[in-house]
Parts: sequence; C-alpha cells; structure tokens
Amino acid sequence: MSLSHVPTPPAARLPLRWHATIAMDAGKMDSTGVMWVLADLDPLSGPALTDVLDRFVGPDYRHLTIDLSGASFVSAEMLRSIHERYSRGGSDGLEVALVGLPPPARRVADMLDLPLARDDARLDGERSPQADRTTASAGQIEVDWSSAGVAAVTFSGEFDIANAHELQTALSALPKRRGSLVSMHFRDVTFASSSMLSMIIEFHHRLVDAGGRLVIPDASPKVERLLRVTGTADMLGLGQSGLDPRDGA
Amino acid sequence: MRVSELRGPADFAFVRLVRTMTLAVSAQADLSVDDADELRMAVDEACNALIKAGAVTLGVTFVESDVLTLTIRPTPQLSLAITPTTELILRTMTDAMMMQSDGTISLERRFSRNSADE
Repeated sequence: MSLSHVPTPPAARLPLRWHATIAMDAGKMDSTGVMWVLADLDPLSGPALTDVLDRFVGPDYRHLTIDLSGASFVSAEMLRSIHERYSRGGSDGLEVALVGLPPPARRVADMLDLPLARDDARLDGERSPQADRTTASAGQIEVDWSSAGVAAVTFSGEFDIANAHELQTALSALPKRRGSLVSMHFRDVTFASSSMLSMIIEFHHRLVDAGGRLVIPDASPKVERLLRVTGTADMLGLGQSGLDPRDGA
Repeated sequence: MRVSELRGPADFAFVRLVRTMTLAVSAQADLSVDDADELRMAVDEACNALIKAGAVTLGVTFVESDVLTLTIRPTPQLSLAITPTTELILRTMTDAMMMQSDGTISLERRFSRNSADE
C-alpha cells in the first residue's frame, strides 16, 4: 500500500470467514470463493485481508466475491487499494467482486467508477466450479475457514495421482498456525490414493509443528480402511469431532 | 453551540477514534444515520490525506450549532495537495468543504429538515 511509510500500531485483527470450492483435475484447478469481512475495513485492518487473499488467491483462483455486508465501515482508501490490486486483468484473469458495501462506500465506488463493486453481479461461491466433471479423476474440496483458526475441509470425488499436484497446491494454501483446528471430512470420497494419504500426513505434521491440530470426523469406508491399514487413523484424529467455522470468526 | 475536541497521533488507529467520535457527535447532534455515515466517510478520507501528507498529530474539533462542523488540524502545518479523488469524496459526502493553507480541513454537514419523515 502507498501508506506503508506511516508508522502505525500492528495491523488490527480482522474477523473474516471464507468459503471456497476448489475442483481439481489433472493439470487444472477451478476455484470460486466468498470472503465475508466482519468488521470495519480500513488501512489498519486492510493488511489482514490482503494477507489472507494473497495466501488463498493464487493464479488458480477464478472467481472471488468479497462480501462486506458485515462491515459497518469501508474506507475509500481500501476501496481504491483493493481495486488497484485486483481489478480485472491485473491478476491472471482472477475475477473479483465486492458486494454488500455500506451505502457511503457504495456511493464512493459508483463515483470513482470502480467496476469491482457491483451488487447486480454477485459471483456465487456456493455454486459448483465449472470443472470438467465428466472425467473420472475429478475431485473437489470445499474449504470453510474463519480467522478464529477453525477450518473445515470437505473432500468429494476421486483423489489419485492425476490430481495429486493440484491437491498439494490447495492444501499448502490452508493456514497452519498456533491454536488452529482443522477438520477434514472424507465421507464423499470415492477413491483415495496413497499419494493423497501422504499429503494429509504431511499436512498434519506441518499443522502440529505450527501448534495446530487435525481431526477427521468422518470418512468413507474406503478412506477409513486406508487409514486403518496404514496405522495412521489415530494420529490423524479419525473419529474425533471438529468445530464448524461458520459458528463465528 | 457545543465544542468538543479530540487530539492524537496521525496514524490509522487514531483515525478509528475520530470515526467513532464522528458517529457519536452526529448522533448527539441529531444528524440522520445516513448523513452521519457520509460524514464519517469524509472525515476518514480527510484524515488519511493528512497522514499521507506527513502530519505528525491531528487535532479534530467538533462544533455543533446550526450545522455540524468538523475541523481537522494537522501538526506541523503542511501544504496539502489533495488528489481529485479525495476532493470529490470530501465534496460529495459533505455540504461544504474548506481547506486552508496550513493544511487544515473543515467539513460541514447540515441537518436534514425532515430526517424523521424520511
């Protein structure tokens, strides 16, 4: 940001919630996400938002909606800065929309003609990404995450060697920090290869190293058998329950 | 006429206090919620412009009379060249805006006559 020379207290904590759907196939990913900002967005809290965006929003993201209806104030400075950073064409075809702006911010966005801010074209992060689901190898994960450090990752479909690289990319973007609790749901997984298992184990180790914890509340019979046969079920917290990130940020 | 003042370091944390106080004073002066919201946007933009221009401290004076007037005075005195965007925001979100050669910005918001009926 252009104001970085100004000495300020450390960036304020900004409560956020995030939902993303990531479809992965051999050699491609398609992602849609919604981020809910749950407090005032100004230059003090802004870095917390851009930090999360930079972490999640790689070149593989396509559609991102930032929902500001939970923010009572959005500064013009932040509108400009988000616009400069994520306006169309500036970031690998990433499409960003700002919705739910408070009325004065809405007026400013209209006045400055910021095309990111539009209420008529909400990018729906809940819908399925346009991945080619006809191929047998398509797997999908849904990520719910809150800045309180609670995340839920729901896997569905097939995870084999073909989309292993894509899964690795998605997992490495998940925040791993002290006190975070990540639950992984494998109920709808129809095929899980050993490469997926080793990635989960690696994720588990990095999470524990950072002071977090992984649990697996549910798994399909195939995944459960894989975990039991390899003796990793207890280590990965199979059968332990997690928290729902949607309960708060 | 009531006069209240807030003074502090020219940083983003202080701007939050100024925004909060702007809402509180607006409510006390019976400004409508929409008017107060716009005034808050203007005061935020004005403070950020002064921080960018190199202000070390900011003093904000709130004067409630026939109109609500906010005067933001930077220390040290500085020559402020605001961007057209900032000027547009300040003019749109207030009823009157004035800048002085020492960097002081005044923002004025009139009371909607029929705010209760809207």
